[in-house]
Amino acid sequence: MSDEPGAVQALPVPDAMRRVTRDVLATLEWRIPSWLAYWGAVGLCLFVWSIAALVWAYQIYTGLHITGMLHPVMWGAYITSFVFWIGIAHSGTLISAILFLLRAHWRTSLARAAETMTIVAVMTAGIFPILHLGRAWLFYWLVPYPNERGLWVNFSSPLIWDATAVGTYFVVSFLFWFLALIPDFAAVRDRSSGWKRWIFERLALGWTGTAAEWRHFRTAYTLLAALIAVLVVSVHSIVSWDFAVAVVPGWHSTIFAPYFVVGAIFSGLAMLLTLMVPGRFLLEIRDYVTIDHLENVAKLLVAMSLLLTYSYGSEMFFAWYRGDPFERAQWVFRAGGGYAPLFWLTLLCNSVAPLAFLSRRVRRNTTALFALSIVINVGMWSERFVIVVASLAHEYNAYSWGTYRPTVFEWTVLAGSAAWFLFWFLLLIGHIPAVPMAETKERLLETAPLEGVPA
Amino acid sequence: MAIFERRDDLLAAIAETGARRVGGATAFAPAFDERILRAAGATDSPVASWTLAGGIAGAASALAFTVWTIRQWPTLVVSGKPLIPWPPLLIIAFELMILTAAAAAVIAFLVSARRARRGTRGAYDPSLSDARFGLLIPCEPARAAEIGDAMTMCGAVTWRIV
Repeated sequence: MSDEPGAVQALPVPDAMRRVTRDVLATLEWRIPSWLAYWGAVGLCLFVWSIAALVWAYQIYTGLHITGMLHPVMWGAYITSFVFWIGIAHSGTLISAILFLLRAHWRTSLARAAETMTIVAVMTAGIFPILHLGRAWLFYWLVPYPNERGLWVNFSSPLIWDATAVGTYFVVSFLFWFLALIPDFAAVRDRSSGWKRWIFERLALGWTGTAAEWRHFRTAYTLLAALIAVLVVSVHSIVSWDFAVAVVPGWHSTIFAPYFVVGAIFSGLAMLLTLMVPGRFLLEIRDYVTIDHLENVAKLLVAMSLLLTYSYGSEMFFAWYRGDPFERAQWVFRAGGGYAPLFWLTLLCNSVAPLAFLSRRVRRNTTALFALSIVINVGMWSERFVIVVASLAHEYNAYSWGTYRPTVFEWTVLAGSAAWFLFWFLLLIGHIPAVPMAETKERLLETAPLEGVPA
Repeated sequence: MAIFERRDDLLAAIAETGARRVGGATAFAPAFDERILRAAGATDSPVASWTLAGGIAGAASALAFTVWTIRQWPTLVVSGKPLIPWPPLLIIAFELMILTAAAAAVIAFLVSARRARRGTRGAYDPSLSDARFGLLIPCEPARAAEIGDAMTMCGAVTWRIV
């Protein structure tokens, strides 16, 4: 295996297609030492999120007072993390759906990992509002159903929009992910035996690859991509409206929807690098996820970083220009108050550090890509924290200002959420074709010249 | 059922079945290829119409449901604002439109794909999901050898009667 592209493309088409099947199916057969690294990582993640689950159980037993949340900051690390993980979920869709519609073929190799990341990130994000509820078992009150209380949910509340949008996003992302897997499941089915064949036979849903099946498949896939492209923008816009519709200084801004969408795509792309830089070694798919693909992600990161920096600048400018003293005070507080280190860390990680990707050498260095992707994710979490917490801590009246610090219980839950995310990501990506086989073969056929075929 | 190693041989074989006036051939491919689909006459799909219908039904039922639930409240203090707040209801309707359109697209795909592979069950070969192409040609038993020879001439690596 090499870091140079074209190792597969250099072969004659039938041989290249066979090689694709062989290489991708090999990722499903774990051999030592990969087996040890893989199951070791899965086991470690299971251990960490089990600890977090115990903390949650303790929180349910004793109450939310074990967190640092207290008036005036009633939205803390849990809501921050909810917004962060929803953001992570967005890039999967960007890579898969939007780049598919734009015919950006380099997406193919990364699409499976990105889509899997989306589903797992939404699963992670969905935990936090329930954690934040305190009485987690009453989460179903968000669902509109006839009940003995004689009450319906309030559809004017952004929290209901949120639940609808995130639920829709999870279902549609899952359908999109599963649909793309059907032809690949058929390839696995045809090359396995015993219980594995039994499972993949059911997952492939009888796929045989007739021309008509491909036509229906492509129509459905393209339509789902188009639907998801608008959905991804709407979901994070709605998440931003959780804040923007409130008259809280630092939140009440018309730029919040595009600002959040850009931030989400930015953090999701960074997380994709965090996962795929080591993942391509672990899964031995370096012929498919090449350094060129990672470089393209880095280029997108620079573009998103510049857009995000523009949003920061725009927010600051209007806080000053519109002359609202509370808005100005909020920004002075962010830059010089108790949360100033996080504010400046955000700018450093999200606006300054990604500029390193302007250098081709940095973009093609996997260590630098990995390190900077972590830096960006730290920056994005702290950005969400500053938006959520600093705004609530410094509202209109000086007598109701306060400070919030996450407790050790909250930090444990946050670490557990990262472990939960990695646990499911590793489990899924290790048991499905990690690179879309059918689509990679489609690229090979597309680039192959026709020889003596009657018109 | 003829199996081909190369896409170009399959395209030639499809043209050959047309020249021999053998209709209803089913082509198999390991990946999506527009040329094969066009040659095999797989140009239309009902999935788009189903998706549109699903989207319209989802948006309409979401609007109807949200308006109905608001009217179920025995008393609702709205401070002079309209009882039915359209902007938030449109947000809910939009999300449900996407949800039902996506679900309709997948259901339509599953139903259409199942219909498309009807009658091909015994003909399928596992190599078709790897790198080979196939052509299932319905014909009278008397013509099987003739068609088989024609497929071999087109480049079929093997053929069999199913």
